[in-house]
Order: sequence, then C-alpha cells, then structure tokens
Amino acid sequence: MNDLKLTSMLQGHFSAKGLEISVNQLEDGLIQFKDDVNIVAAYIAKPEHYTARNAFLNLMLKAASRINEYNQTYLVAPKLYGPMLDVKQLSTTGMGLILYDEREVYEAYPARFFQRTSQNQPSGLNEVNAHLTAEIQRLRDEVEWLKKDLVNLRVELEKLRERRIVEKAVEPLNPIESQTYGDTLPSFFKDNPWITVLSNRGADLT
Amino acid sequence: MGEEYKRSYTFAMDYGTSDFKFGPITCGETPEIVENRGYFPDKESIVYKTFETPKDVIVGRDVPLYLQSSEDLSTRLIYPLKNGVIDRDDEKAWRVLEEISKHGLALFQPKAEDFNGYYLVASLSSVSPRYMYEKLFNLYERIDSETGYIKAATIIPQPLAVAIAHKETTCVVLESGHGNTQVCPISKYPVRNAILAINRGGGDANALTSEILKDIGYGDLARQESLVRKVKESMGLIPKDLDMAIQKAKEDPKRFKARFKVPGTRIIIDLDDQSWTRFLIGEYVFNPNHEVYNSYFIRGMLKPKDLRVGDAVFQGMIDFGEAIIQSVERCPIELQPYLYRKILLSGGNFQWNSPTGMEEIAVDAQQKIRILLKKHGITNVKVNMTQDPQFSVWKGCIIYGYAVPEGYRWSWDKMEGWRIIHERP
Repeated sequence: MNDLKLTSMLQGHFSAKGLEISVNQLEDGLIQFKDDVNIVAAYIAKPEHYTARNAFLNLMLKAASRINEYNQTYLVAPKLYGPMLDVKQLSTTGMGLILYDEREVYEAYPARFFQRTSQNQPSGLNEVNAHLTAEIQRLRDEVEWLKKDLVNLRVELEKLRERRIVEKAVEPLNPIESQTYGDTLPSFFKDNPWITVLSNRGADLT
Repeated sequence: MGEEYKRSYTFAMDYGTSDFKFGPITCGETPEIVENRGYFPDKESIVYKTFETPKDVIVGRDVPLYLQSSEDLSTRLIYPLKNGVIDRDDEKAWRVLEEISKHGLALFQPKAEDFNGYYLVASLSSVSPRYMYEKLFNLYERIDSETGYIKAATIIPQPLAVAIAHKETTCVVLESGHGNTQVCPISKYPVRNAILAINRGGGDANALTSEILKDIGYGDLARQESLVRKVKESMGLIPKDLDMAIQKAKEDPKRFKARFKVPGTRIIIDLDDQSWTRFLIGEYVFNPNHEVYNSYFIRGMLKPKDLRVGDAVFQGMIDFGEAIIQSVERCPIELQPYLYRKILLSGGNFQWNSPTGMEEIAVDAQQKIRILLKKHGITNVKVNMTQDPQFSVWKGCIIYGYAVPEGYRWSWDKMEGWRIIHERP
C-alpha cells in the first residue's frame, strides 16, 4: 500500500472520531490528528521496521519518549504483522495499535488517554505576558483596597480603645465611698504601740 | 488634712521581688496583689500593627494576654527587682516600676470630691541604695503630674514595716526570701548602719535539693525548679544537730523515710536509705559551712558567694546566728540584750516542716536560730515567726502612713518623713 492511500485511510478512520490531519510527516513516520482540544499521534511502521531485528522496538521507544506530547499515541502496522507484536509492551506504555490492509484500517488495541504537558498553556509569549500583566494589576488594586480598609479599621479601633480607657478610668476596683472602713480601722491597728511611736515622729525636732 | 482624711486616703505599696502588694487603707485586712513584672510587647509584630496598638509596657493581670513567643520572653518580660535592687541605669526595670505603681493607684482611683491625693507609703528592701529612693520619688512626681493621685509619699525599709505590723518596737527582723536574707535591727527606727545582707535564700536550698535528687536517680526531675521546690518543702528538715541527725537517720532509715508523689503523675520520689539527706537541705539554709557540703561544691554546685549589690555587700557563707550577732553588735551595747529578746523571722524561707515524734532531731526555724545563737554564746533569746508573712509589709506601711504626721517632712539624713508631691489645697 502506498503512503497516500494509507494516509487517506487513516484520515478516514480518525475523521470518524472528529479529528483531522494537522501535521503530515509521513516521510519521518508520523502523522498528527487533532480536534479543538486533543492531538493524536500515529507512528507508521515502514517495511524496514519489519525486517531489521530491533527497528520496530526502536520505533516504539521513539513513540514512548514523546508520549506526553500527545493525548493519544498509536502505532500503525500492517495487519499481517499484528500477531507478531507484543501487546504487553503497548499496554505498559499506553500506546494503541492500528492495523491495516488493502481494505480496511481498524483499532486493534486502544490507546490510553494522557493529559499533554503543554496543554492549557497559553500558546504565545505575548498571550502569557498579557495574562500576567492583567493579574498583577488586579492584585495591585486589591492591595490598595485592603490598605484603605486597614486605615479605616485602625481609626475605628483607636476610637474604641479610647472609649474603653475612659470607661475603665471611671470604674475603680475599690471606690472609697463604697467601703465601710472609713470609720473603723483594720484590725491590725488594734493595740499597736507603733501608732503612738510614729505619731510622735518629728516632735523631737520642734 | 488630718487623721480623718488619712483614714480613707492612706495607700501602701510593697515592691517585693516576685509580687507587688498594693492598696489603700480601705482594703481592710488584705491588699491587692499582682506579679511584680512588666512585659514589653514587640510593637513591630504584624498582629499588633493590624489589630492593636498596645502600651509600651504591660503590667498587672493582663500580662499573660500579651505574651508572645517564648524565645524572647527573657528580654521582654522584666522582673524589675533583683535582690531587692534596681540598677540605676536599668531603664526597662524603672519603666516597669513606674507603670505598675500607676496601675496600682489607678485601680483605686477615688470618686469622692474631697480626694486630693493619697498619702503613699512605699516599701523597699533594707539594702536598697539611696539612688533608688531618689528615683522612686521622681517617679511618683511624674505619676502625680499626670493623675493627681499622690499628695505625699514616703519610703520605708521592709523590715521596719514587718516590725510595725507585728507590734514590735525593738527587735531584730530576719527577712529571708528566694534569693537573699536581710538582718535589720529596729529600735523605733531601723538601725541602718547595722543592717546586714546575706547572699543566700530559698533558691540555694532548691539547688542542693536538686543535687540530692540527681544522686538518687531523679536527674530528669531535678531540672524542674518548681518541682524541686515542692520536694524541698515536703522532705526538707532542719536538724537540731546535723552530725547527730545524719547518724540517727543512717542507723534507722525507715524512721526518717520520706516519699513524695509528683502531683498529676505516677512518679513517687523515695529517698529510701538516703533519707539522711533530708537534713542537709534545712541545715544548708541556716549554716552551709559543714564539711558534708564540700562534696556538692566539688561536683559543681555553686557556693554562695559574697556579692556587692548597690552599696551593700551580701555575704555568702555566714551562718544566720553569726549574722544576727554581727548585726546586733553594730548597735549600742545597752540596746543589744533587748534586740536578742525579740527576733522576728519573716519570709517564705523560714517555713519548714517539723514532724511530730522527731522533736529531738528535727526542729523548726525558730529553734534552729536559738541553737545557732547559743553556739556563739548568746542565750536568753526569743524568736518568733511573723504571722501572715505575705501581707505584713503592706500592713506595716499602712500603719506608718496613717500614724506619721504630715508635718514630719522627708529627711535624707534620717531617710524618713513625708515628701510632699503636690500642694494643691
């Protein structure tokens, strides 16, 4: 099967899933399909991959090393070689397998879905800068508002504190007028010879 | 202003090393009490910047509410008095003293219209130097200029206040606290040139108790000062004669067995065959010169040293009997017999157990003083413990403030009398 026909048949297979070709590098053995969100890679095994002993394994390793760049990754191989492939290797790496012959292309083993590492990142540097600048401005505005709030709160607190100090000052713990000792002295005054001694202090000076 | 005014407006302040006792005569039998300390909050703290602008120094019962990280407590939580003295240049300590004095007066701010300031009597350690009196008077003038709380002020030594509270006009007051002990003869006035200070107090007995606990295998508990103090109070005994007490306790350890259960735990401290060490603790307070203590000094326990604090020299190793004699012998000869006849013991360091059934071996503080004096040839002495030791200084100050006439003005020669703070009618 020539490359053009294989490409056409793969296009038909993926268009049924809503994907279309975005990059065709068939000469390097890679075709990318994408929709609005997802990108799918299809690594095409060429005849040399079936003849050289480790060539197919190398293709698998190459695909596996870039698996995080795509949402799904498939190996594409002729139906004839399907029984010779080790499905366990595919299962371990998360890659899927598409087999084809002259009549059809079909998914022999489904690929696992991955979140791409570059997904959700702004595509261009300008876009990133614009996003960050807007965010910084928003934060600056918020800080200004918080500062104003803080000043208002401090003023309020100061008023409250002044009020509290005044209230405390007019409520002594033990107001004299509430006590009854004004007329009677505490018991330790009773029969104390020091009262006489001390009340004569200074008498010897006059 | 006469007696009637003072009946309501006499105020006393007792600046103790750990507690500040204060209040007017109208408090009755007991004053207010707060810890004598102040906290300098970190005003750069984001918490304070955001929510509060505290005062420079916090005193009174609010202190715990402001304490920040424990790392800087030693620099921010200030206990102003050390050995009864504040260094002349210790600005933070003086700031605390001013704030706590103001706090005390503000709590009892009278509402009555006739109030024209308190007659304030403050009490300081008998070894406080003259500059402390000067700075304290300045401090009261500042407080009065802001508040009008103080009409006149005076300052008396704590032993004089103790003697007044106990109605003894001629006596020797032995005041022993955590860090030091003072001997002060009184004959209607404190005999200032006879005052003697000793650099030994309850803290030294705690240190010895800690060493004893280490020796019997409680090294982990020996580091907790509050626990060590409780062990000392529970197990420590004053021996009538240390050699005899040790011999008897070694012959019959069961009789002197001592066990202490650590509160809130399953730990029981049992001196077992080391029960004789109970007597070392009590003896050490009164006389640390026995050779048995050398083994503790050699192993690193600090020996009480002679120490200069302010203008006074605190002797470290003098026994209490010798200290009383040295002090009394600085007084007129005719007065000396009267002084020996009335010795007043004041302070927490004289509170010791004297178990029944051990009278011939373990004695109380009064008897120990009598024994020590007898060794030096002094007999016919009478020793009493003060009643209500916590508040006796405050009570003495109140009586002093009430009784001393307003016309008796402050004299720097006598260190007595009223210093008029404001003359407003």
